[in-house]
Amino acid sequence: MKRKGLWGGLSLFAGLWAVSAWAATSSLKATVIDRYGNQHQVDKFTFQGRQDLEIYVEGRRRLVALVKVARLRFEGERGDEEQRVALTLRNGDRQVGMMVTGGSSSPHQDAVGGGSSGRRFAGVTDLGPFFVLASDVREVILRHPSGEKPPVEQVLKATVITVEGQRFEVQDLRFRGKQRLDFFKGRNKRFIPLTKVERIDFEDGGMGDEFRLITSTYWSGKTVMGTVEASTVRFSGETDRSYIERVNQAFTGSVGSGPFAIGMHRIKHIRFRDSPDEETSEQAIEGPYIIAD
Amino acid sequence: MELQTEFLRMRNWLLYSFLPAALLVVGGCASTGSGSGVGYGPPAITEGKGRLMLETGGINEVNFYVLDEETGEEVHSETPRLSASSPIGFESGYRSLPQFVDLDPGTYLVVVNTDVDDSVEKTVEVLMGQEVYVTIPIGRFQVIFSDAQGRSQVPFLIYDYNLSTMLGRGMTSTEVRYFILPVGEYKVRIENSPSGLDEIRPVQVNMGQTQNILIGPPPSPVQPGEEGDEGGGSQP
Repeated sequence: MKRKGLWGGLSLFAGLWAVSAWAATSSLKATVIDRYGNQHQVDKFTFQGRQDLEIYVEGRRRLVALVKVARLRFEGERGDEEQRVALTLRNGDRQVGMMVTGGSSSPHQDAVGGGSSGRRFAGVTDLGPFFVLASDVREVILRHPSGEKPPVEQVLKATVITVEGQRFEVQDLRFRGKQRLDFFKGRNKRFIPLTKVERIDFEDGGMGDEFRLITSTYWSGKTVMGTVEASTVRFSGETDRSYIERVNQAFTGSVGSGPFAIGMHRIKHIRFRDSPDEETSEQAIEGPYIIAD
Repeated sequence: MELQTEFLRMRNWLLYSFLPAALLVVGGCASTGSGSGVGYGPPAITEGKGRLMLETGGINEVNFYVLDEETGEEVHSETPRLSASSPIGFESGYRSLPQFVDLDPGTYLVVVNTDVDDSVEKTVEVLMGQEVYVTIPIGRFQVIFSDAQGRSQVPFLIYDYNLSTMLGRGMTSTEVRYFILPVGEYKVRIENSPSGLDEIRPVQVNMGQTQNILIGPPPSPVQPGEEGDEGGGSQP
């Protein structure tokens, strides 16, 4: 009787653990093909615990969520510190970029707590925990649930009005490459999903202000206030490129004549269009690639 | 007869007054004793709720908040750490328990803010009466800057590994101070024009590991018999 209770308790505990583990971890499945041609069927697939990949497309850093990826192929050599990687996305698009795979690098001399090269794919196979160094992988085929549609990113159309009164009709507006605006509520960092916002108003402030007050109004009517970083001061150690990116390319997108970028210190108002397919009657101003000041 | 009456009176007093009082005291002590056992582990899960526990690889405290997936509303928030660029930030203490929060059953988005622009987000389902562990893939490093006067405070920048994008800022401390980042490889740059210092160091951030980056002259080892010498002799 006692033994029966013990087994019952153990099975209940195992059941609970399995349920909670399932709930808390990635459910991505993948077939990993290494450089020797071996195939590994991996469950709970991640890249060093993360569910995104850091790649460089035309020199720009991008984080690509694994849920959007159908397959990726490494086209470099095992010892390369960074390799050319070809991504096939679930919507059919193809992207080619560079990814730091570490090559034969050893753990940093100052690392404390055990040495290991960081860049690895991890997950679980039928035999137990699984990991493989990114430099040892040739191809990864992600197995998404059949019938599940790939996440669709809405193309945001917005009207941007500057503090000088200029007006731009912008397509695919993004804040630092993402469809969300990071802001501060006091000391707390939060984000506003741009897909849910009708308008964002920026308070007047001097050109030297480090922070600007914003008021964003959601389509639901909800209003959120906070501050955004709008500093134009150059930090010690900042390269020309990163300074220009940070100060003058907070919001990016495209206008009729080409790419568009604007700094946070120059915006007065952003109004998003309800329907992404709605055609505006106003003619888009032929705006050049904006680099303020 | 009188003696017997006195004896009975004493016995009754003992039975009805002293004994209940003694039992009350002993009972009180017993309940206090059992109550102190609560300090050895997390308290019981609040009735009707589930528990979300953050597994952060030994990091004491992180800034995080929880959003309800259905409504998008923020249901919980903790901000125990100061900004990485704050000059007054340092590690303040030790926690024996991971950070946790009791929530109504449902699906939530947990957002952990790090010391760079990238935050870590996980979707999690909380079930009634159960603990759900969420592994947050973050790690930490420390920058120790020393000059002639010893450890000092200087600002630095955190870049991605290719030095193409600035991800965040930090300020070194004279105390112990860690910077929390999503796992990955980064570069740290300290530039001080007046002194001609320009150091770029790679940082490997792994979960459960720390990295100490020492910048500046290494502390001179204390020679036997030199203990207590003011200033310490410089090495040839």
